[in-house]
Amino acid sequence: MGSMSVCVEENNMLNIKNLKVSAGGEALLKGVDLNVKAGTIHAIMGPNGSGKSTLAKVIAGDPSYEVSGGSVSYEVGFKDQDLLSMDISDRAREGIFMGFQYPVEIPGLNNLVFLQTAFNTLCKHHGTPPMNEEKFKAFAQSKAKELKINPEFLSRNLNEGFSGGEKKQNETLQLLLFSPRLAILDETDSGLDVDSIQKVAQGIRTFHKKDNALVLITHYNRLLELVRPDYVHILIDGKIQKKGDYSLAEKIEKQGYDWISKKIH
Amino acid sequence: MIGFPKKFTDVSEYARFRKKEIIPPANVERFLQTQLKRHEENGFPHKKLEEWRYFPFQKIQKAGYIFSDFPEQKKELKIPSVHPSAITLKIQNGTPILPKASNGFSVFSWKEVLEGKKDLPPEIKSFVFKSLESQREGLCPLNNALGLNGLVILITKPLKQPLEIHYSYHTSQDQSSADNLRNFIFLQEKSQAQIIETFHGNESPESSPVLLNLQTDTFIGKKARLEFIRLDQGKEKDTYLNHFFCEMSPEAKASLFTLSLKSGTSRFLTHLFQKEKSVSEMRGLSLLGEGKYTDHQVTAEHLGEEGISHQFYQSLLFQSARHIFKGMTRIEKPAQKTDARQLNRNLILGERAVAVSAPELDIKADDVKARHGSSTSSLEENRALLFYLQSRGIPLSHALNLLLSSMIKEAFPSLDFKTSPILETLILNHLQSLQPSFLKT
Repeated sequence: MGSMSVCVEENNMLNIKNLKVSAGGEALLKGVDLNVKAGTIHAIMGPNGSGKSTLAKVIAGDPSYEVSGGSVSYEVGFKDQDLLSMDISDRAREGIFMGFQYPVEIPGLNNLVFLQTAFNTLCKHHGTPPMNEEKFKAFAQSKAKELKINPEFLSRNLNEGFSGGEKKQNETLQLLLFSPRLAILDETDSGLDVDSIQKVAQGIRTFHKKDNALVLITHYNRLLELVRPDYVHILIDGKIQKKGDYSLAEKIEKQGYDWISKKIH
Repeated sequence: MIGFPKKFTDVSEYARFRKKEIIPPANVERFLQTQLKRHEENGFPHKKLEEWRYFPFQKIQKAGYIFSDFPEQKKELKIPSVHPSAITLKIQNGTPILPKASNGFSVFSWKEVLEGKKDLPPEIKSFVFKSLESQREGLCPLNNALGLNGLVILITKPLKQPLEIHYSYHTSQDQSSADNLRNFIFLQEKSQAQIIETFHGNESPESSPVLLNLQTDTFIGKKARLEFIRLDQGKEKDTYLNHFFCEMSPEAKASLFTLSLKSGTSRFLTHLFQKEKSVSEMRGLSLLGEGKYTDHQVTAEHLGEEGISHQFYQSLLFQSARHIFKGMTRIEKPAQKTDARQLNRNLILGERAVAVSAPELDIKADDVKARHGSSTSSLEENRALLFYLQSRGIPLSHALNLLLSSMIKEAFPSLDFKTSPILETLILNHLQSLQPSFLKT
């Protein structure tokens, strides 16, 4: 058991090689390389339109995009699987979670019913017993309490009438409920006030363990100050142009992206 | 000119027969003759009339309906209730089977009233005869003239049990037959009721189709509250034409919910006249499969100030279903500070399905809030919602079921009696019965 876990830590959980993606004939990712190991936190930063959200959605399986080149492998049961050939829901059941930048609203769908359905789907896949309504409600309420989220919004419809901050908190709650292996949070900090960012950061810190990994997509250093990433990647014009540690995020905060763009051109 | 078939439009013989069968008092006879004359002047509806433009006249012509009398069905047939503790009123083959008098309400047979066998209490009597004088269009004047069966319901207190009205036909006659039923509902001041009206169509297997032309006039007294549910459980071959008119007194509340499920052709005309501070909610849910047609003509007419109306009609259209929504919010000059909303949403799930939507406002007052909107989308356009659900591990077929169920639940009003869960189960079963391949789990 010990040697197997060492094997996982040494190998990449996610391995992206020369990934090229387009939509409507326009090239959005032009050869992205990214390796993510278990136990690490990665931040992807970049100016508007650089392809950050596209990368997140392609990993989650959004069918709006066309992969025109490269490969993405994802470790499942100590074996690398071709992630791009996996169905959207299969990816989620194998532990990939995407926190949406703009979570959708579904007016007639009760939030708790949705969360329980998703949770029990994961349970079924992993061969663990599903939770009944009462038990799941108590479980969800305890997680909401951890995040200092008002448990009342569990009884509301999915994201209907939620403020921007509440929607992001609901995404963070799902992170704790579903315990994915690889979480990609797409601008979970955008549009949030200071208190809400604290709640998101608290959620991320609670979630993060040695056997999972996080990819945080962000414009700003605010969240990264609270959740120190191990690696920072700068995505510009569909390619990762620079890599570094947390100090790179601090430099971007002070100097912007121009100095990197100038080096490219 | 495409319209109703010739056999159907020749009502003279039937009218003579009816006159022979029931000889109403002279004052009533005058009302009925006036309405028959009005019908003769207007003629039958046809495709050139905007509100009948999409109506499937060809289907009606093929069925070849005639107005006829149905054989009297004396044996009371068992019909499943929507609500377990409801008081049931049945109209079998056009003949009412009435419950015993109960605390808080009285029911009269319209035929007995016409024959002078039953006298109505004065407050309802004037309302009934005023309704018979109404200057309406379409098939309403004909219904007034020939609808000699039906119910007169008087509600005097808040009812503790819902009332269910079931319309069913049990006839194996070869000829496709049409019937006119005439109802009146009167809620006294501060009374309350939930009424569930279900059309079952012709229950006899392998029998000819039935067309029901039903007209209901409703009066809701001051501070009274009515929840009215219309449930279409007819057969594929049947046609259900439902006309509902409602006069709302000051501070009255009305919640109407129309569920269109099974009849091949259905048409629901709903017209509310709202006095000051009255509140109405009109909701509709159509879940239609192959060849089904549903037409909603909805009007909220605000006559007094500070009224509220909310129209929300949702349809899920499979295969070649067709759904028409024509909504009107009319705000007259005295109806200042009215708050009106109107929304129609259609989801196209079949390649040949069609939705026609016309939400309209006609505002004469200058200090009001009025919103209206309409959206028609396909599953493709809801892909973002499905992607979200799938990205949480929920398989596509289950995600689709969740999405459609959520749309169904969204259309439900909040009701006083716990009718919603029963109706929801009925609808979700109907959804499964449509069996679109992509919903199979």
